[in-house]
Amino acid sequence: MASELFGYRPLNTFFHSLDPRVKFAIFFSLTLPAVSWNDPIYLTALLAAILAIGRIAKNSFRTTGRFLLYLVPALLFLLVYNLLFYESSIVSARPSWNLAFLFYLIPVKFWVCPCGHVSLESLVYASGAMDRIIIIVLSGRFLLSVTSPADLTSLMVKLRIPSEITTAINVAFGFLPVSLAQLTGVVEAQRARGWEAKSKNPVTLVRKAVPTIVPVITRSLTRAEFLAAAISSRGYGFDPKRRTYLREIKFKGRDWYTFSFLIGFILIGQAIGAAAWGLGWADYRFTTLILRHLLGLGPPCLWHPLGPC
Amino acid sequence: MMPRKPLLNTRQISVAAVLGGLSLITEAFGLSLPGYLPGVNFNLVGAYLSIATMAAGPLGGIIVTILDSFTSSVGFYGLPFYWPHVFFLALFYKRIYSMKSTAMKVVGYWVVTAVALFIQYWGWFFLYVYVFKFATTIWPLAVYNFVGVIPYATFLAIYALIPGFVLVTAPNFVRPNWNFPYLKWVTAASIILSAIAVASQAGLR
Amino acid sequence: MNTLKRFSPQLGSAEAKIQTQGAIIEFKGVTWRYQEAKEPSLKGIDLKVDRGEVIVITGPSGAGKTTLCRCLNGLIPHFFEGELQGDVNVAGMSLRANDIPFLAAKVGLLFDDPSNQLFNSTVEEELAFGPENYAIPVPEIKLRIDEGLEFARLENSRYKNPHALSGGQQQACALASIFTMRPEIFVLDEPTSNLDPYGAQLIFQRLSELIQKGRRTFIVVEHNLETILPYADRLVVMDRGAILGDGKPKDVLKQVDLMEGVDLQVPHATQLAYELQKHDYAKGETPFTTEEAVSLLTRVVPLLLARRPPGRRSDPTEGERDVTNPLVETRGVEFAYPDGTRALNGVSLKIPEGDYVGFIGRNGSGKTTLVKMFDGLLRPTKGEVLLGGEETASKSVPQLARFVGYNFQNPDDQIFARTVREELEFAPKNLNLSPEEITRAVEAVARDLELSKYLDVNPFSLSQGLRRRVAIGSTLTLDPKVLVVDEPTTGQDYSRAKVVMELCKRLNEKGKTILIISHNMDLIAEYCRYVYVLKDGFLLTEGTPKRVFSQPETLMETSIVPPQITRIFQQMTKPALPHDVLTMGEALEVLGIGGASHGE
Repeated sequence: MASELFGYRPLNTFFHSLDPRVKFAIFFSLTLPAVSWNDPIYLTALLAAILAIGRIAKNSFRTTGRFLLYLVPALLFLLVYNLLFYESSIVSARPSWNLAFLFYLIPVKFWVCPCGHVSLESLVYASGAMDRIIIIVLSGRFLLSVTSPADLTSLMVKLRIPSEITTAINVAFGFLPVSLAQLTGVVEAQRARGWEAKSKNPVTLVRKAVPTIVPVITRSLTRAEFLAAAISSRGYGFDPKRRTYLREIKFKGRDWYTFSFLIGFILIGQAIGAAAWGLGWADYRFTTLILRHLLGLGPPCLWHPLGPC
Repeated sequence: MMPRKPLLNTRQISVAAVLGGLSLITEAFGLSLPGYLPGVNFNLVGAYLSIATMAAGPLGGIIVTILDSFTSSVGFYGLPFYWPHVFFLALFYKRIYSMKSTAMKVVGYWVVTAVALFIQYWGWFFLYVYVFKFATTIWPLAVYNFVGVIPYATFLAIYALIPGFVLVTAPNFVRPNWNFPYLKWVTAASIILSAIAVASQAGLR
Repeated sequence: MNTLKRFSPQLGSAEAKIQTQGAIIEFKGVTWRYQEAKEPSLKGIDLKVDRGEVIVITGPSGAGKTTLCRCLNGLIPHFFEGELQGDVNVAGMSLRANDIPFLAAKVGLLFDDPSNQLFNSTVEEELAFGPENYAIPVPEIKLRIDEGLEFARLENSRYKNPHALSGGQQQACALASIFTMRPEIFVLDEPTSNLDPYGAQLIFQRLSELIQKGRRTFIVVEHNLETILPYADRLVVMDRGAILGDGKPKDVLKQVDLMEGVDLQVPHATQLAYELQKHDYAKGETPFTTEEAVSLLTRVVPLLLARRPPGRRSDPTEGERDVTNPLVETRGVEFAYPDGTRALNGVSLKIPEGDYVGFIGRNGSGKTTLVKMFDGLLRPTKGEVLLGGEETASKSVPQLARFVGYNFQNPDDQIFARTVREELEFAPKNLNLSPEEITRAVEAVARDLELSKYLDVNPFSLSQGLRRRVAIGSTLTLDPKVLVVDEPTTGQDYSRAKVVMELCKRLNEKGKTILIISHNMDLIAEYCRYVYVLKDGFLLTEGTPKRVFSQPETLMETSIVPPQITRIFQQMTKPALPHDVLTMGEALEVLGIGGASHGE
């Protein structure tokens, strides 16, 4: 099915049966704490929760693992970027104490800026950042795996999004098989004329894509014309405001319980995030201090995590 | 009671739907070069977004971004950060389209896209550094993209090369038969908001 | 609902009122010119249709049939831009003063290509879309959906994506989605032109049920007159924007000069009657069904044979086919998709150089899968494919492109360049030919295909026929030995389809081996020297067209129907006539009333 293109599988799990509004609430209740939390320990716990939720929704660990492989370049980039430039961040992001340096990523003689000192703090921060990406990506994937196109349309209707936008999105999903066949057809047609797109240079690759992308686009725009005529011919636009919808979503018992739980979780999550700033709890710096203590790197003032030592 | 005036006609709906569907497919199939951050893939979504804006106006471009966000790695969080680009392009597009000289059309389109992309970038920097906190500082990211050139050049190629090609070879497809009220003000507002968002955090990090 | 007049700022303020005594549709002096067209597509059309009538409209491409259909639900002038003169009144509503949603409530329009009119994620949603737009209450919508599913025989496909259905089922779904709107008038614009024979059959069955239910008015644009005319109250013939003939089908068909003067696919049964009339037989008779023609011939043939002996048939398609050194060969080829669906099951064939071969069969029978193996677009999961005696397994697609030129159904799938010259240069450039070789190849192909004067023109600005020639030319610049043309006749009217077949014939005469996939049996019978019939991934039968079309029971397994003339002769028992007559020319030779040069 076309919707399986973006991960939806029509299964019968607890999460599949929820109202789409609750499904989106799950997404936000997982990603908002990820955005506001800083501490890799908390983030790892959140990640474990997502994996568990995904498993209940019948996303296998193997598929999830394969999917995460695509993130490896991004994870590596984040790691190196944070290790390189952590020192350049100003006061609000880094601790006020002297960092526990471990090694130089760039030898000193090649320095053009004060970057490349790998410290325990930068490693902890970077691991939190990597956790965060994984959480956001997996949350999105979870949402799509349990939310059908019909769910999305019903949700948008309920949120009173204008029918033009709702219809466009509905049509986009409905027309996916045609778009896919179109894309395949064009690629095959060009391959049959000896076309191949192989280049290490991304700009060259874009240029080489022109013989496939231009016909895909022109054919798509031609089809759009016919599609528009067909949509018009079915009375679209008669009265967008009073239009009825076959599928109406309504909260059931389990939706209410789940939604209440999620709201509570979001509020607690934001409170934790605030505490990180205000009190130093659940902040990566607190975790760093614990690690420094365990590794014998100091400082001695564990009870004043943000205070100078 | 008179029905309300439609926001989009069926042509615009279809164009946005079809191009949005292509962007869905592109993301879902990973038809891209891996980027250095999630949501930063060198795929052709930018081309579809631009063409949808050209053919169907800013709402068309916005619909493509909504559809793209379903399969984007950063999900719906990235959605509004495309919009300054969409509005900026829409603001100048009719003028570009009406130019008589093909060369001037192409140059005009590339220049407008380059500026729009530059504006768009800062919104994404804001998202990655200040919202997602993927990194502690924005400036090396900016240097990598703009001074390092390759990422910016690649995205510019994506946003400008193919739509520009369509503009020149098949202009009927992208004739701007649309109107968007208060476009000037909406564009200005979106750019100013991006600038404020970045500036408010820039001093801290 | 009718009291809400939609705003439409681009319309004039005048609301034309037309007297409609009994007529549900009335065109009065209607002329329409599309915005960028030089000539009007409709010229002074006057047409009245009474409630409950079934009107069949036919005519060559460009006659204005589709334009006329678009006038019925308001696409013209509210969706398509242009200049409208005259008045149209549909179900009591003026075309100018009522926007599309109002007209579409009364007029259901079905387009020719199902894939462009199905845009919801499930069949159920597709059927609901129309009623939802009209704010029909949900319980009523559900009722209509059930009725629509039953009508289309899609009860088991309620939650399927419409594009996962077969072509015929898709069109049935599209028809059902109009059915649920409960229009008074059904307009079907070439509903079967993009379908395989099985799909076309499905649609005609649904259509006949609808017509027999009565109470509704039908306008059907169709080239396949044989199948649709039995239901028609009137036949309207159009050409170049004007109505040339309008009346009871038999009365219109009697106008021989009209029917022969317009580029139409006149049923073989009717053509036969025309020819007999030239020899003073069958005066005033205008059969269009096979049964009518058989009845006519049963009376006439004894008289004919008494007067003159049957002619000797020239038969260029028979004769030895030398497959000792086949140019294209498959040995037990199998293909399975990643999901396990088997598209080909052990197909073995041999095609000699210079052959003109047709592949026929239902959609999904494996024809396209098979021919894609010849240029490496698909690789067999088992078995071998050989070109010129060499296995293709180790060759890349670009390498195979020098041997096999593949042309897809829609030329726009290939066209991307700024000029025709660039388009023709594309393939040789991909294969790194030298500039001199490229220039030579492009000029040679342009000469052969009469494209020389278009070399510096933007291909997007050319007509569809020219674009197809450009697309074919762009594969010929590599001078391949084999040319594959995948469904060039689907969605085309008879004369356009014939142009492609003629082009392939010219190329065949110059030594190219031609492989055609088509659903048009008349053209396959006329042009191909050998035919392969596929069913469910197997080779069902093969042979010369005569041999293949002489096996009606075998062909029925895959819903293939031989040309009408073949069926007419096969059904003749008293006297019995040869069962392998394929073309009109041959038929006339058998009957002794035509020479070998008598063509279609």
